[in-house]
Amino acid sequence: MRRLPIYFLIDISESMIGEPIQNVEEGLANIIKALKADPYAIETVWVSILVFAGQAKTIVPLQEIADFYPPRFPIGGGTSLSKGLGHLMYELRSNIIKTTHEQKGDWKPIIFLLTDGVPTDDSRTAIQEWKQNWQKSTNLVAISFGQETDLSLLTELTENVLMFNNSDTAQYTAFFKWVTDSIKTSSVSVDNSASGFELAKLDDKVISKIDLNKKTIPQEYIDPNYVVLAAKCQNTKRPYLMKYKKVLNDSPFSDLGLQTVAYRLNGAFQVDNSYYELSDQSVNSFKINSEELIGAPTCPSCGNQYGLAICSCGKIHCIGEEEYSTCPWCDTKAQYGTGGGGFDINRTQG
Amino acid sequence: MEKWEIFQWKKSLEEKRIVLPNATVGKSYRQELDLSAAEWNEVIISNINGLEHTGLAYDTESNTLTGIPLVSADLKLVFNLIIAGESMEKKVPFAINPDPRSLWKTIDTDRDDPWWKPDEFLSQQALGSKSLVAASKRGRAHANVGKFREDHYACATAGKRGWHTIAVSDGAGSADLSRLGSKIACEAAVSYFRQLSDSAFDELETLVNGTTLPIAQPLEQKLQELAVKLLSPAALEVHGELSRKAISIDASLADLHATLALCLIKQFQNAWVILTFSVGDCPIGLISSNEEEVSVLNWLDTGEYGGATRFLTMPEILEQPDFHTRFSARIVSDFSYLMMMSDGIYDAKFETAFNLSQPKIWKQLIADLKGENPDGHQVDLVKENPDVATQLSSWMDFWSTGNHDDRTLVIIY
Repeated sequence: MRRLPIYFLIDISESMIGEPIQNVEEGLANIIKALKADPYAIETVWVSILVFAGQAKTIVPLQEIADFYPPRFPIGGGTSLSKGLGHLMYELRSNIIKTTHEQKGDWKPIIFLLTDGVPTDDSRTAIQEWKQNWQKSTNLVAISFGQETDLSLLTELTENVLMFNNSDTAQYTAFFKWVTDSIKTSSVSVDNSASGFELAKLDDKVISKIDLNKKTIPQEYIDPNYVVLAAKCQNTKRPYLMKYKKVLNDSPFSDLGLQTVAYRLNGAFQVDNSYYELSDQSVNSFKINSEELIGAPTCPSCGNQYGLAICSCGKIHCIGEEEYSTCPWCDTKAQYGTGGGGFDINRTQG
Repeated sequence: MEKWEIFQWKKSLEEKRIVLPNATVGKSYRQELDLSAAEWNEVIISNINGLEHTGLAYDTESNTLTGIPLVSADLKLVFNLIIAGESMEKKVPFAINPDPRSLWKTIDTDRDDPWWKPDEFLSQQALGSKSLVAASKRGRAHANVGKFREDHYACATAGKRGWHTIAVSDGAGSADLSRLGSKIACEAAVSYFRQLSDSAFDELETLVNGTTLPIAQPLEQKLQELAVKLLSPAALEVHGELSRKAISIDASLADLHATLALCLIKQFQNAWVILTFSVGDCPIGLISSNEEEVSVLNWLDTGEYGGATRFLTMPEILEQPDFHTRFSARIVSDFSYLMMMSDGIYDAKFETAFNLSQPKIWKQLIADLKGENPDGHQVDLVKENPDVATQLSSWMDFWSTGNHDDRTLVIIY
């Protein structure tokens, strides 16, 4: 029997934390559920899930659908497309069965690349290697989750570049249904000895094909849609992330049509230590002024009232009702008050 | 305990993974939960919601989930926990997979279709001192959507001198009328030889009668030439018949795309003569009387991907310089089996063309036919077995993951 390997390479940078990653998690679970009910897919399709942020990792090794168990998605800092691609190529090299005298090899693997941001590293070498060794022997579909993804990079990888409007859960449901349909059609067409790769019909409201001739967006190294702050809990010493989403406000000079950019609290999320494992270790020094941030969360790890306190070392942690707080980063004991005026805070890249 | 400590304890229990491997409908399931982590100390599992009607039950004493699942389901089990007097819920995903075999439907074909044909056809007959058994069956892939069997076979006696014609054809999955194409291909081939005058075989028979085995090299050459001479008009006739049919029903020739494996066989006093012709990917295998050697009498039109199969309906086939290599001729004193099959059998039992040249794989197939298979289906390949065709038909229902094409197998034994 010939396998049809399906790889998901998923961006798990910080901006994906919260609802987007939950939607992806549920979306993938639904894909598997639907494929299990399809007699062709359940016998032919094998699935693997790879994630990448600053680093890349396999969270579901290539396996039969019948053995699939929903993974937990970690979150990391940065969007290293080169590490993601590199890891994908490593997995393909190790797992794809080639045709030999005695055995028929796998069908052409289908890869769904889901990314929501601008790569925070230089991915030219990885893209070059992809083009040379893998572009022809796989079917790659690149799907952009964010408005400001660097599409010019994706169009270098494949002619199948799609834009997904990830506005709400219903859109996610429709999107993952489209992925499921594409896999199903492909698994039937390999059985009929056809090409084995057919994308399902696109619903333009949910997902649209990118015009490859369109002007590209200049490269940036920080994701402007979100501000994500990394912090540590004073009580549990565990890391957590606070996510702020961009909002445009009318400025006091609104008659001039001016707007100011601000970021509103989207949520605070406890992460585990795999966050560090998957983050880009190079020091980042992107700053955001506290006056641009709207709202502060409670600590998602211990429930402390204020999750956004800054130690003199520049790092963020939570504080409660205690008189003296200890910074979980540098162990400095200090008394905290409310700061007046704006101050700069280190933000993450993803 | 500090308030934040309970907060954190609950949080880490929420995050703690409980992995319940997938169950399968009808297969006994038993899984002990691993609650050894420190977080689970003094935690009481008061109840688990979501197992109703699944056939599975959770035992809180042994922390085991057991039972025989009744229905497929994707569940989120809810564990009700009590921690330091406070209650919380923990959700654990759990899947009960369907039995893959239960997913295939059997939808009847349209009886009113002008080119309707039965889902199954079988036959058995004597052939010289040996017997022939054959069966052709619609595959699950077609049954699942109510499509027709695209395979076909036909066998008949040609003339009065004891020649037999056997034809096997596989209609192209992508062609609308391939069920008709394969039928015409087989019937036209058989009918061509039935109408051929006996004298057409004179030259060949004289050659064979003057031969002592093993045959010498130059004679083999001569025999090969005679095979081309006898069979190529048949190939042309079949192609012509398909073209005429296409025109008469206002279809394109490509709608009738079908392969053809053709065998002409006769028992002489001390020898068997076997001539073959083929286009497509239906192998013809000849197994020696001691069952130690195998000759594949034709080469297969297979590409890296299955789509490269060629069909007799492709006019260029007849003009290609390698056309004469599509013919073969053998004289053997005896043999144990001669088999012709469609790719529904070949893909499942051999997988690659290389494996067709491996006697050990043929031995496995013979053992399989004799009953070495999970279903215990047995085909008694002995002379005068009145049930041999129905036995073969039952055997052909074998399960092979990913192989659900139509199946056709002809065995001379």
